[in-house]
Amino acid sequence: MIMNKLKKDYFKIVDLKLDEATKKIEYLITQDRLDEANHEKIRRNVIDIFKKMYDVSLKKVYSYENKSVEDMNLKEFRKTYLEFFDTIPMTWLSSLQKAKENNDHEKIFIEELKIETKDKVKSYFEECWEGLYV
Amino acid sequence: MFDNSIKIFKSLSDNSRLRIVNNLLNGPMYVELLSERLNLSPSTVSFHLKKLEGAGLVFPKKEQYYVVYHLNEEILNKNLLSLVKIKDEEREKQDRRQEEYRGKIIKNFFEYGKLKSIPVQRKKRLVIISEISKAFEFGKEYTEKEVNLIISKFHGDFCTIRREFISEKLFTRENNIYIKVKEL
Repeated sequence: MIMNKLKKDYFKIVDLKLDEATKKIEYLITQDRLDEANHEKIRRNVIDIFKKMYDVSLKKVYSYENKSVEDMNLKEFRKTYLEFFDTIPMTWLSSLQKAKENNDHEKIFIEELKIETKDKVKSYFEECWEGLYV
Repeated sequence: MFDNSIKIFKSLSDNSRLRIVNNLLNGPMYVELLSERLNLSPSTVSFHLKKLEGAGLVFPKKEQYYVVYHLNEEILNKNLLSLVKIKDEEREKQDRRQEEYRGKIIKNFFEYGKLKSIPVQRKKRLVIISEISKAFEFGKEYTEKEVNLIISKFHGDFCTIRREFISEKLFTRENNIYIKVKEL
């Protein structure tokens, strides 16, 4: 029950953000603001990656605990899921570092955008997690 | 060749950047002010300003605590023609390449001053008929018989080549009088 609530609440926010991003991309393209549309596409991709990682984490914990979703150790799931927020951005961070060294402003902007979006998605998850115990 | 022109056109082909340039036409501004006026995040404004700066359209200047962006009027005052016009050295290169191509076609299709065959490809045919047309003087009037005679020195099918002269507008024809008006 708790697991279902967490997923429902979290996906509600994430899907809303994905939907908003898609609409914004369409709008920006009609306005000939193609760079901003591309930035929004990047943002949407990052949100989508972490949405997918949710189910990946579920499967991971579910398989090694060999339990039903409801019996699953929630804290173990949280730990597994949050690990993706550290591992996935590793390449972004090194790319950002290189971009800074080379004064590549466009790349800096994009890598910072990805990291910033990742932090936001993480905060949505944390909000929903905290909501479970209210 | 057009490196900077391409950067200029690319950076201006964006609605938000055009709006930034328009705002800067009213005077230099800092990122936060542009951000408020255009309802864009400061980071997005900075992104666009860097692109405009890369094309040389704006430049930053530190004033007290702020970095203020100015328009580079020298570039903005250039006319479109000066931006699309290629440099002489590039034009020379293009002319040289074209000349090499012509030379190759002529070498392949002519033998001892005679045309071996009329090329099927229009691009090659143009080179050939242009080469034959060199046997004619500009502005001089030729009867059809004279035209045929001169062409036949190169190839037996003078009718086809003569018609090509007209269809490719190298010659004008009026009352069966041919005048050379163009050479390719």
